[in-house]
Amino acid sequence: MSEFNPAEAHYQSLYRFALSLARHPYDAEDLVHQTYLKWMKNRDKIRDKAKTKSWLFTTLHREFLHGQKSKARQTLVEADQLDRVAEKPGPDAGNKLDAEYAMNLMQQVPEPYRASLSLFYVQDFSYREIAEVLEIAPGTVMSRIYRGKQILKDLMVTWKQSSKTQPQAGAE
Amino acid sequence: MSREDTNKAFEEILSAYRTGDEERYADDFAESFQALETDRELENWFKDDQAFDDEFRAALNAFKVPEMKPVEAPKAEIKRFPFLKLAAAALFAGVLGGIGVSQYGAAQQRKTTALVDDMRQSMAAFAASSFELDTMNNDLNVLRDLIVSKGGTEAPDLETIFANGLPMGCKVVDWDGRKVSLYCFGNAAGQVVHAFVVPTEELNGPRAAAALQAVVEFSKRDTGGFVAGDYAYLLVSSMPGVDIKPFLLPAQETFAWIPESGPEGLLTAAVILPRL
Repeated sequence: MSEFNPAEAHYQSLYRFALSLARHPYDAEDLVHQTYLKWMKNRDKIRDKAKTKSWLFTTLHREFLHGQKSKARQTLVEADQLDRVAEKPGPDAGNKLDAEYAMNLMQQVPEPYRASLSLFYVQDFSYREIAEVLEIAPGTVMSRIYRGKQILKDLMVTWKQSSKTQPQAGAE
Repeated sequence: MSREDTNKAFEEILSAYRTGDEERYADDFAESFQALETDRELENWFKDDQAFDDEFRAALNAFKVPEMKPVEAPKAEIKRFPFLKLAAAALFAGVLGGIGVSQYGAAQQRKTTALVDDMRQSMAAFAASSFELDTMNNDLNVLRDLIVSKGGTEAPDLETIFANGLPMGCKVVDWDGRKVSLYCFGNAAGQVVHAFVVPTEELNGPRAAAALQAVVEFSKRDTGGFVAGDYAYLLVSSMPGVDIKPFLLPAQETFAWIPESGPEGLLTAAVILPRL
């Protein structure tokens, strides 16, 4: 019988969370990789297997915070990412939010709001689960989700307005 | 505290609310939901906020993720018992070699079943959330027509599987951009199970999909399934404590499936041996 691998089962959500935090695919891959290495090393110590999911997300977030020390590199990445967002064309005629742009918008939300918001949307964690993963108070999670959403909504308004003034591809 | 400040406090709480009965009746949200009933402005804000959540969550979770790269175990762990590891590896290779299965084949098999695991987890989480069916009806043909009109599958073997079950409703569910057809059935004992149906090609083919046969618990719900024809069926109990085996075993006996010959086929054959 094939062995169930919880780490693989959470891979997609973990990657999306990592990318929203790190803002760069290479850094996101590194974060996920480091998280799995730690999981492989420590999985026998996780007594309650139902906690594997929150363990993975907590570890990934810790890895991200640890990596924040390399500020110089991050500044370069941020500049690159913001350029990409600015160059990205707006929504199509149907004004539908596409996946890549949603990720770009999420990456523009500043920390500390981004982590709470990303877990709220990417993995559909409850605010109490988010508090556990990020190791902060539940009330703080509520505030961060609220403020993060306000920023996100402002970004979307700007994006939708700019898309109306932007000529469609191929238009004269 | 002014009405504006009070509403802002309610908005802060409600913005952390996820759709679902589990939180709808939680103490943390009770007062805010009560306020919604008497304050039209707050109610409108909440509707907009929920619509925003739905749109953004759907878009973000449709983001395409690159294929998972293999992660090797830390070297220090391998070096700890080199002789034991070597002996185990030799024994493993010898056993598998005897029936023509390589270690590579086993690794590939695990990799291809990752989608099955993801589907189990995603559908169990979905079943645990509060969701609305697209329709409720006891006529399976009505359910099929609706599912097909929404791009789902008519799941041709449902009658055989749920010969004694009562169709209850259906829904087309999005799973990372794939359309999963959900049919709900009840039995005489009043138990309800959800049957999530996808083409086997969505799960890396019938061999990988056969891993559905194992019963695994997610979100406090049993999950397990089988393959019939070109479709994979994943049954998920609707509530914690509902046993899916009475539904699952007849289906698995009916659709015993022998894979083609070959290294992977032999390995998969072990996976789908009838359960005792």
